[in-house]
Amino acid sequence: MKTNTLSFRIFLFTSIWMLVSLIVVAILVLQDYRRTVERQFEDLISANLYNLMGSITREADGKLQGKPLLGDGRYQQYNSGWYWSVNLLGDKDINLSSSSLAGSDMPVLESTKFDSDFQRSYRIDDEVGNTILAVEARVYLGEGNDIYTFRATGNMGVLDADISRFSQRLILFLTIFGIGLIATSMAIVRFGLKPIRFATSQLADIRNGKTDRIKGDFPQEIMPLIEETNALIRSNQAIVERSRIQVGNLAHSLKTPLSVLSLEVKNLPETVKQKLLSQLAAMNSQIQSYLNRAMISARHGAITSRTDVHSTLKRLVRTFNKLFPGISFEYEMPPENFDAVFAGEQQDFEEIIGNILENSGKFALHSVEIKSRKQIDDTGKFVEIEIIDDGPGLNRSEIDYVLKRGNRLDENNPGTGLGLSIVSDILKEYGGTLHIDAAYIGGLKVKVQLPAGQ
Amino acid sequence: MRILVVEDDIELNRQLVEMLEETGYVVDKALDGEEGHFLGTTEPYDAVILDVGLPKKDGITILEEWREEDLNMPVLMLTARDRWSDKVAGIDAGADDYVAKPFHVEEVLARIRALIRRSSGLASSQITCGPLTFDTRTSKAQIAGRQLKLTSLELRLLTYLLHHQGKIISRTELTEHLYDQDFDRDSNTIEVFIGRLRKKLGVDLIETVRGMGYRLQAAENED
Repeated sequence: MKTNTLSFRIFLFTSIWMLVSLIVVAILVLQDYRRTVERQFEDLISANLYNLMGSITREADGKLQGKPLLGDGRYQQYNSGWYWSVNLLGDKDINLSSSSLAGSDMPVLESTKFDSDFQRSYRIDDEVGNTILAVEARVYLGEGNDIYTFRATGNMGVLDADISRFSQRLILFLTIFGIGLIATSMAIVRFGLKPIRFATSQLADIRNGKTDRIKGDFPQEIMPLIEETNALIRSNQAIVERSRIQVGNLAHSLKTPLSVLSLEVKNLPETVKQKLLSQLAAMNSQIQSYLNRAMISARHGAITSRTDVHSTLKRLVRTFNKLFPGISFEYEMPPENFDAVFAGEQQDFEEIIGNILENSGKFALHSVEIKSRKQIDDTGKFVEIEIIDDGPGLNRSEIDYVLKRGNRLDENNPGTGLGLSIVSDILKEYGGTLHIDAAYIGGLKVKVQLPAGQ
Repeated sequence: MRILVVEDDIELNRQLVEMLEETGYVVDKALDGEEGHFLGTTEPYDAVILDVGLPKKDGITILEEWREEDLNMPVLMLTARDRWSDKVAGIDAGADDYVAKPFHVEEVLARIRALIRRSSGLASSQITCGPLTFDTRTSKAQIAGRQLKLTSLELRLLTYLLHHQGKIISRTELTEHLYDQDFDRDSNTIEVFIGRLRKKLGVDLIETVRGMGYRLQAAENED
C-alpha cells in the first residue's frame, strides 16, 4: 500500500486506535482477572485455615491434637508450597505442622500487621523459592489464655500458571479480533473510496482514449468534483478546437495573399522574379512551420481522444489512390486487429500517415504497401503502421538528412519539405516513434508506432 | 475546354482566370459559394478549380451537393488549410486533387491538365489520333511531324475533340465548351471553324455525323 494515500491514512489511524484500545483492554482485563483469582485463592487458603482451626484441639496437658482434612494432597508433598502450621505464641516447641514442611520452619513475614480480627496475609518465598500466599490467624485455643498462631499457605505458582494461560488465550482472542477489525476497516476504506478509484480509472480511460468524459453514478460528496472535471475536459477540448480553427483561419488569411503575390510576379524581369519567389517561398515555409508548431502547442497537455485506426487508414488509402492514379496503395490489416485504436486525435493521425504516404506516393514506381497491426511490448500497447514503397529508396545519411526540419532531397517534386519534421514533432508529442529503413522491394520502409487506446 | 474558377479573393480569382485563359481555356468565374454552386450545376465544365474557404457556401458543401446531383466534372480543390485532415475531407467530399496555397502557376496548370486527361480516360500527356499528335503540356499539335499553326479557338476545338475521340459531339456541346457563359453563341460559327480546322489538318480526321454532330476518329487503316 502506498503511504501517501487516503486509504493509507485512514488505515493507519484506525489501526493505531485499535491497537492502543486492544492493549488497554488487555491490561485492564488481565489486572481484573488477576485480582479475582487472587481473591479466590486467598478465600481458598482462608477456608483451609478455618478448616485447620476447626480440626486442631488442645489437650489438657497442653499438647495439640488433630488431623486436619484439608482435602488437598499438596499439603502432604514435600516443599510443595502448600503448608500449614500451628504454634503456641512464645513457645516454639509446642506446634503442629503439615508433612509438606517436613520439620522445616514455616517462612514468616513478621513485618505484616494483623487486622482487627487478628488475621493477616502476605506473600513470601519459601526455602525452595516458591512464592506462597500465607494466611495467619491468632486465636485462643482450649480453656487457657494461650494464644496460638494458625498458618495456612498455598503455592501462588498455580495462580501464575492460570493467569499466564488466561493471558495467552486473551492475547490470542484479541489478536484475532484485532486482525478481523483491521480487515474490516480495510474493506470499509476500500468500499468507501471505491467511487474515487472508479473516477481515477475513468480519467485514465480518458487519457488512453477509451472514453471522452467521466461517466457513472457517484456519491453526492464527490459528484461536484466529477461534474467540474467533465466541464474542464469539455472546455479543454473546446480550446483545442478553437485554436485549430484560429490557426486554420490564420493560414487562410495569410496564404491567399501569398498566392496572389507569387502569381503576380510572373510578369516581372527574371532576376527580380526569382528573388521575390524565393522570399515568398521562405515566408510560406516560415508561416507553415509556425502554424504547425501552433497546432502542436494547442494539443500540448490536452486530454486525448481516440481514433479508429482501421477506418481512418481505409479513408486515407482511398484518398491516396485518387491523388496518385498511377500508384497502387494497398492496405492490409489482420481482421482481428480491426478494433485497434490510436490514443490521440484523428487529425494528428491523418497528418502523420498522410505526410508519409505523400512522400511514398511521390517516389514509388508502382505501389505502396500499408500494413498495420496491434503490438504489445514492455512499454505498453501500441499500433504499428508500416508504409513500404517500391521507389529508389535512400541511404542512411540521406535518411538522417530528410528527417531534419525543412530538408528535401528531391527538389523536383513539389512540397515544402516540412512533412517528415511535422511527423516527428507530432510523434514526439504522443510518445510515438518513427523508423526509416530500406524496404525489401527496393524503396523505403517507414515504420510508425503510436500509443494504442483501449 | 471550359473551366470554372470559384475563389472569393478577387485578385487571386483574376490571376487564375488570366492564367487559364492565356493557356487556351475558356474560363468562367465565381466569387462566392452560391454563385459557384449555381454555375457548376447549370453549365457544363470540363474542370473546376474550387477554393475550400468560400463565403455563403463552403467548398466542401458545394462539392458534396454536386456529387449528389451526379455532376462528375473533375474538381481541383484549392486550400490554405493544408493539414491532411482537410485534404482528406475534400477528397472524401468528391474532389479529384488538391493544391495548397500558395501555389505555382505551373502546378495548377499541370494538375488541371492531368485531371481533364484522366476524366477523358487518357493516360499520357501526349494525345494521338492517327498522324495527329498533341502535347497537352505545351498545347502544340503536329501532323506527321509538321507543326500546326492554330488560332486559339481552333486550338480549343481540336483539344476538345481530341479529349473525346471516337465520340459524337453535338454542335451545342461544342458551343458550350468552347465559349464562356457571356458569349453570344451561334452554333453556325462552329461549322466554319470545323471547316478551317479540317483544312489545316489536311487529313480527314473529323467526320460529320449527319443530324448529330462531329466525330474525331483516325481512319481504320491508320490505327
